[in-house]
Amino acid sequence: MNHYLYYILTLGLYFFVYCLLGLGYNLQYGLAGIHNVANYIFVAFGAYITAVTSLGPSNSLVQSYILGTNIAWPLPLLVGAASGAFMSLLLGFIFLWKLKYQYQAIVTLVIAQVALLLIGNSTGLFNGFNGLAGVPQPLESVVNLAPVPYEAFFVGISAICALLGFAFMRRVVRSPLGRVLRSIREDESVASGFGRNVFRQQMLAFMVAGAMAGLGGGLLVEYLGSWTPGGWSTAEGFVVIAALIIGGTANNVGAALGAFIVPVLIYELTAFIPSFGPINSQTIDAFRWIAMGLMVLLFLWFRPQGVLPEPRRHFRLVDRILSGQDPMPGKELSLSEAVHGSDVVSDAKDAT
Amino acid sequence: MSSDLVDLSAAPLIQAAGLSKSFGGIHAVQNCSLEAYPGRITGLIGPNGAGKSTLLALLAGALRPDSGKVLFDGHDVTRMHDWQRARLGLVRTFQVSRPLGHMTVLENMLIGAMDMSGETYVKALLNRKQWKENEERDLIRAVELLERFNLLPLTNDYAEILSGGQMRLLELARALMAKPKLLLLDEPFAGVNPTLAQELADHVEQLNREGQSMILIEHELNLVGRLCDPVIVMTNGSVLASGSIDELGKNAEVVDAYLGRTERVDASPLAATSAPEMEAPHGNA
Repeated sequence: MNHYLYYILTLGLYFFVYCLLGLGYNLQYGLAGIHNVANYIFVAFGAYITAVTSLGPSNSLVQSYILGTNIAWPLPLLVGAASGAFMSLLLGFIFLWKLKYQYQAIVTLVIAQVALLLIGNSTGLFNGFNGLAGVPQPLESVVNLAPVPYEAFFVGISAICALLGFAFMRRVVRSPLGRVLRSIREDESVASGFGRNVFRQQMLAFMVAGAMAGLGGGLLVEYLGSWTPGGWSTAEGFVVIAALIIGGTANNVGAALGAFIVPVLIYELTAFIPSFGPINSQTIDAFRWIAMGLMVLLFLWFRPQGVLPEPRRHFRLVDRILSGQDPMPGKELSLSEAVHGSDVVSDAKDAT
Repeated sequence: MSSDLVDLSAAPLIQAAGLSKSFGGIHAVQNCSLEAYPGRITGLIGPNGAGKSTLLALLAGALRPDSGKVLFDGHDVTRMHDWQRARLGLVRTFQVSRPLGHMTVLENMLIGAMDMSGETYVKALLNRKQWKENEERDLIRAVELLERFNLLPLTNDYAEILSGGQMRLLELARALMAKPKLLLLDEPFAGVNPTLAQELADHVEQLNREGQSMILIEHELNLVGRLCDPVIVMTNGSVLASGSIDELGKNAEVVDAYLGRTERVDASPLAATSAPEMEAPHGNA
């Protein structure tokens, strides 16, 4: 019984982490129109920085790495998120300047592969291709729980992170900021023709998405306890992209739904397919990737907007005008007063 | 005509001096200078490829000139980006309508409003009350403009489903949301039926009567004559002449250049023998 519970909690953890990653990817791709297929390097970088700031000093006989500051939780997670944002700032100057669409996508992929090779070959940085191990779990000695309750505790932490990410993205999407980001996605020259600094907005969206990726990476490394360059690369990055495409691009609930469908349902549940005859665990693993690729292909062909399409924005004020109702019920205010502004407007507002 | 309403001694709203722009070996705009005055519609005419749209892009800041200078409303904007110029009140529409397709007509209008409160992360998250207030003001202005341009029934539709003519109307209405000091219109009547072209021209004329300054690129000379004063004629990347449409009509060089015969014969030796006869049916297009 216990190991089923443990397994379900593990699925929960993956769901919440992929939610966070999907929401961050939604910000940069779904809203700001940045074609970044290399979001996984920001996850990896956040994971590495979280690892080396929570590990003690490097012992070159075991594994060698930078920092080793052993700072108190949750600082490693925050530093991991900040490093994701910082890495986005640096690479954003390459990705976001003059590059668009497929050219942008190719460049992000190339830079990501270079970054992974650099990390793998410089053994002093994050212990090279062997990766880092023995990353301490957060507050393990403080809460002092048995494995299953601790697992539940950890899932709770990741749920809080995912919920904060969701609340944040919900606000962004509904604000003028979300509208400007979508206008950049639709047509950059219109956005800049109407006074918007496109590079700045894309860079900030990219950095915030980088921070969310870094935080997701930090949570993963704290959960797994180890991290290697090969453990999180193009394939895992593809899962995040596939999840958003299937769930619904530019829809936050869609991003969450995608995090349930792809990493949890397809990826994890295929592990339950029993081995029989020629079907062994390796063929099941191959089948899992085929299923995921096929699913993305089918969605791109027949339902490119995903299960939950981007919601169409309505403004209650205007809908009331269109249906002939009083646009601002309870306020003694004519249309022209509202347009040209008067003290009445701000007074009425302050009262509510 | 608007000229009797305009103070002729007023300082120019925009002033371009010696603008040049080349693409590879092609000199799209060469040493162009022009001025546009407040309260007027300055027309920009010339054959296809004369450099009108390039010149407009140089004024709007979508392109950087190789040399020359642009002064707008007392600012030297030569080195400014298009978004910086837009914030000063220099707004343009595009030769090909550019709706924000997967956003509603109303959202397109809100992008036109350059209010920009609530467009940073801090303000979007924490200053909801303030941007909501500004947004409501913009929404009501948007509804008024949509009504004026007969787009109100389409308010909540995605802009991508609009017809070509409706996109033209939206393009103009969206630009007006920005309350521009100078509106640069690049062939706002292109590709619409004659009735709608007249309707759009009426809008432009009415806006000018309300004091809106504009620079207008247009091929249909009747409309140019009705709306624009003065008119600037461009050919081969340079300004050929300027003046009222009546003055220009008497200028043989202008008439010749605008119809483009000598130019096309020069440009293509193959066309030299056949072009004059071939062109006759299209002459008044």
